[in-house]
Amino acid sequence: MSTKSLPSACARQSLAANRPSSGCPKASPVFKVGGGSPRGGPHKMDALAPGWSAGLRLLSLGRHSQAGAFPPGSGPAHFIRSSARQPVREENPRRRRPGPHREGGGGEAAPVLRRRVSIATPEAAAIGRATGSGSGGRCGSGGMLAAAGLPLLLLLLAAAGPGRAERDALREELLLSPLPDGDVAATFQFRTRWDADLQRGGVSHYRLFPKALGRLVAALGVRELHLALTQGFWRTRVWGQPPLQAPAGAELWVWFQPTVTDVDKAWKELSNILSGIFCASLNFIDSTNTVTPTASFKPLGLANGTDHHLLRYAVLPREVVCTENLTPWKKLLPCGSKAGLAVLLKAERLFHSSYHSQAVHIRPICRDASCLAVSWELRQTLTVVFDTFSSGQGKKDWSLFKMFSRTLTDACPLASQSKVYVDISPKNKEKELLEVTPPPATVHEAIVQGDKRTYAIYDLLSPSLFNTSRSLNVQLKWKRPQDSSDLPTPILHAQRYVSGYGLQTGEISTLIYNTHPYRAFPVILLETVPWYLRLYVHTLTIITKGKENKPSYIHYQPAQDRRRPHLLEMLIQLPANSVTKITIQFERALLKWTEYTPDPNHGFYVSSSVLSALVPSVIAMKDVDVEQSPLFTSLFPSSDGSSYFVRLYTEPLLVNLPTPDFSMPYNVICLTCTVVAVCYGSFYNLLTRTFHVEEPSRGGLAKRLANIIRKFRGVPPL
Amino acid sequence: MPVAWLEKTMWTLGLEVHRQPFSRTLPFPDELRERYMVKGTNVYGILRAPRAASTEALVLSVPCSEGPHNNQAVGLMLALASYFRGQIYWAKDIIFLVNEHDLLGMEAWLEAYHDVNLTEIQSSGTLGRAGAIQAAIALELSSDVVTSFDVAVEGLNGQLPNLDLLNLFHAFCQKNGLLCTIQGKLPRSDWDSLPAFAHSLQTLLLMVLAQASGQPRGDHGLFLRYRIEAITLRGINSFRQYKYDMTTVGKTLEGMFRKLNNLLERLHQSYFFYLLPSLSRFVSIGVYMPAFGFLILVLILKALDLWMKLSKSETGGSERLWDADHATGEESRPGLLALVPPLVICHAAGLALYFLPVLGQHVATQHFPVSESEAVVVLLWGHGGVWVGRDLEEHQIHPPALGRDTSHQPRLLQAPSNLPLNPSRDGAATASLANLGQALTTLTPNKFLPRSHLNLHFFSLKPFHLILWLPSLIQSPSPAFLEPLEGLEGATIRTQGACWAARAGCQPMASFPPTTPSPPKPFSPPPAWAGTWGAMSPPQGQDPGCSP
Repeated sequence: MSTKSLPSACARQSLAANRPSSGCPKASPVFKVGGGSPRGGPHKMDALAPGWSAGLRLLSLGRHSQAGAFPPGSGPAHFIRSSARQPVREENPRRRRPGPHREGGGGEAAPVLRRRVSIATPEAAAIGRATGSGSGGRCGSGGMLAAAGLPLLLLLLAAAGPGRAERDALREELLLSPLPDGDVAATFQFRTRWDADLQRGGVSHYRLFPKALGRLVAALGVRELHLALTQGFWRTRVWGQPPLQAPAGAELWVWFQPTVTDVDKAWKELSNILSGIFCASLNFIDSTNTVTPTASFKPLGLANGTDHHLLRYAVLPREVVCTENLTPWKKLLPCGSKAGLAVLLKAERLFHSSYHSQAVHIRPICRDASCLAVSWELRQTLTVVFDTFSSGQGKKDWSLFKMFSRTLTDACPLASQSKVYVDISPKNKEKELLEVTPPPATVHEAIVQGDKRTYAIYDLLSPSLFNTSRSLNVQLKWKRPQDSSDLPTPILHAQRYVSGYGLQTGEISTLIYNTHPYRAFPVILLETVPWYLRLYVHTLTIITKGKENKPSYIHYQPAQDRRRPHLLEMLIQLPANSVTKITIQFERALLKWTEYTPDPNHGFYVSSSVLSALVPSVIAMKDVDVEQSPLFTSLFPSSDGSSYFVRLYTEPLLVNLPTPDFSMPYNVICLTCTVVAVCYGSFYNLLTRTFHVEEPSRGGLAKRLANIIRKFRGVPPL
Repeated sequence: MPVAWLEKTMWTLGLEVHRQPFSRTLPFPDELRERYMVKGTNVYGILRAPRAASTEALVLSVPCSEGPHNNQAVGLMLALASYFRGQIYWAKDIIFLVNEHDLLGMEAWLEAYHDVNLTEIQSSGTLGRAGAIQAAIALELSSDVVTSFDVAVEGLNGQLPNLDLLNLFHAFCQKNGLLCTIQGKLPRSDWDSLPAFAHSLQTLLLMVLAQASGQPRGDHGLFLRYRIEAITLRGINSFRQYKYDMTTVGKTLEGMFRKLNNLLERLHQSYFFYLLPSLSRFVSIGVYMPAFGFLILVLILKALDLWMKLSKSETGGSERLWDADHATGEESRPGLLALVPPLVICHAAGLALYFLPVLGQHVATQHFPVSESEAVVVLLWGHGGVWVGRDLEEHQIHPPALGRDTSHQPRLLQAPSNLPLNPSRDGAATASLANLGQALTTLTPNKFLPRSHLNLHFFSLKPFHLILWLPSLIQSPSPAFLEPLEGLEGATIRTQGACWAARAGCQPMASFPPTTPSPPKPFSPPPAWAGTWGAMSPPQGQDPGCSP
């Protein structure tokens, strides 16, 4: 029984189109999904529910009900097709129907339902295929689906039974922080937490958690998955430490379960599937750009062992991120981009920015403080940096509308928390440089990344927010124009470049700055260099303040041509207030002529190196409650109060390799082949072919013998 | 240089500002101030391209020294920076660089940017970097009135930027109606007349001279070592009637930067070796390199000849060696008069080849029912040497070039032999040398190709031209060429060519005393020489072709 994808986007769009304009979610009472104990008991379906929504719900439910364990051997293409997210769930929270129905009480009705659905789904799939899978213009099928779903509604009524509910909760957050140089960073985070164990395979009903990712986790034995697609480069020196770091291009790192026997195979399969889900070129991840770091990447979630053989890490620095990656990312959100904070995610504006990074993090976490059970957490984050200078003609004031050309009108009805944070921390000890309108209801003080920050909080779920105006348009004005050009430098930042000239050798230099006035701290540097830059490890020098700095840990894995890249991991102590320069020389290999990219003179990318450090904070940090902390620190828990974890990515490098002139050989080959084929070939043929009349020979002794035998047998002779 | 003001202005424009102080101890005192220590500061602002990872960059550099020398350029650069900052289409970072002390500052900046130290310039300060620089434009405006733009291409050691960059500039000049010159010479509209040709020749020779000097003709010249295509644009006030306002100049620069910004790859697959008779025409390496190649071939053949002699003498025994020493002591130098017959014969042959096709065309149209244009095709099949003849003929109409040939010939021929001994750092010396040889050999007007001309026939026919012409290059007479080759029935054409070439090489390699004219001795080939290639060398270590 194979599941087919419903045109879920279409259903959602039809939902949106049919939604009353008075704002149904806004009018409905706030619904706490994650809070409280789940409602058990037999499910009562309102028989008089509006046909279209009930039918849709039914279809989605049916699809969930009949979804068995994902066959592990099935190919990626099939899996991609079958793993589209289910359509929008509960339109009206009052008619909430928790729990899966497989283990439900209606034992006889369930098979019937399953059979009917398996009949019905091919039609739906056909419609989905006919109307296209990703683009608009398929909204007409929603009505047809609804019509097909109506008879099933009655069946469902019989099938409804008591279900064991698993809590899932969605929290959406938006953090707006003015950066030191005047730009504005907007960081979205959508956290879906699900109190179900995905690995057991018994999970079939997906509510808020996207099914595509959930089944991926279950089928491929993924323990942790971190995927980031980034366009641009976070300039740590002028923008400060980012809330969530990502290298330019695509980054994927995955911890697999210890039960996975062939990690490489699972990794390959996973990258291909993700490539399909996110429309990214992740299928270009192969052994030549995959490494297994030993120290840089630790599991961020619940883990009972850190055997790094279960880790795979790859970066594609060339990946260009654009709307085709954003759309599937938005589709994973429970509310899509129809309600809540996600309405701001307008691609046209998001890509009119200085930096765009979107990420998906899946990890297991403790369900509660006792940590006896596992919950799964999905974080979808998106960071955008808006250049207020170019858009605002030199003024550094901004507003939500200016940045996103939309304002917030409501929270996602499925979210249990929906908040907007604005960083209004005073800079340079001058208080109240910023003025925020509308005045925030609450102000939160937190210590984030070693710095004391003040946040204005707008809770979209509180009814008082939309009392005065129908929409929330956060505005920020600088009371005094910023005039100082000395920006606060972050404690840890780095720079990487290729030095030297010529096409034979070169040198990769990394400068790591520690601007902390009195504390030294260690940093783990991870360099992944493609094989065609042949590193000379004996030229590795680490110099701090004119003296050689011996790393206390070095892990080096040499490259194998066309198989695997160089991997260099070092633990380096950075003295206080110092610059550490790390250089390593390389030689540029000459590739085979088929190995060059179509644009070889553009150069070849070397992915960013990764710096992981526990940076001592300038001010003492309180031990904050990780789960309740509103911001983004909770992805990297701090070990103690005195330091915080920072991961930095340096610039990717563009290295020119010796490139043959591809135009000349092309012409020569074409011309030569033509000449040879046409002229020489025919002439040679004419000149060397000899024509002579073949005499019917009587053949040798063997033939004569054979003919004699044939004559005996009555067979015509040879 | 007002460093603080520049920094502040650039910061207000929204650039990422950096400064780079540098100092250099000169080996000799400065001409103007008589100082040994030069200190300066480069200021530059980086315009970070949105959503780009700082992997590629473009540079607009403006030299700025004390005084109001280049103030206009600084102003224009700042205006451009302010305009560029507001645009969203940049895919490469743009570095706006104000360098002090012209070339010194530029070299300091480039070395610091690429983290190499070639000239012991000390520089300090943290540098902002923006990845691999793809192209650079240096801007100099001598006054606020610009009537024309002069473009300088010659870099350090005669290196040249990619021709496409120059084409880009030329295209934008034409689009915006700017008057642009090269070597300070305006292009002429007519191409066929003799004065136009002389004009082009002059321009080309100026470029050859500039390249041969090895000096960069502007700040751009230092970029070329780092494989950054760069040109210098100089705004000239030549007191013409029509002037250009800064908007036109700015538009041109903006257009160039946008074009460079749109490049997916580095500039490549165009010409890196060329000579420019005007801004819109060039002489490609494909035209002048074969000639140079044949000059080098002479050396190879000579070396082959010597090697064969060596093997001969080894087998021959000691008394032959002794005889050879005896014989070489007696031989005398040929005179200049000996040059005349080969020259006359060569040029007569050239003239014949030049005019015969034309005559043949007439004859063909008279005797065959074909039109004139078709007759050319017939003739082309008949005479492969139409172009050969024209080449030869045109050398005759330029006596200066020919005169240079003869007088500079020893140096010219020795130059290639020095080539492998001088490890030229970037291959640039090779280029300038090649240009030198090129200037002497291919100054024919019909090779001033319009761009985008597929010059296959020139390329392919050049060898013939050179083989025929080589005897006229050499100073020693070529009796083998003059005399009827009675004894050479068995020898192949290849042997002849080798002999000529060997002769061409052998004489200038020796010290060249002022010779007394002496008539060439008749050539009497020994019977052994008429044999195969292996037996080509005559006995007694004498090359019959090379010694008179």
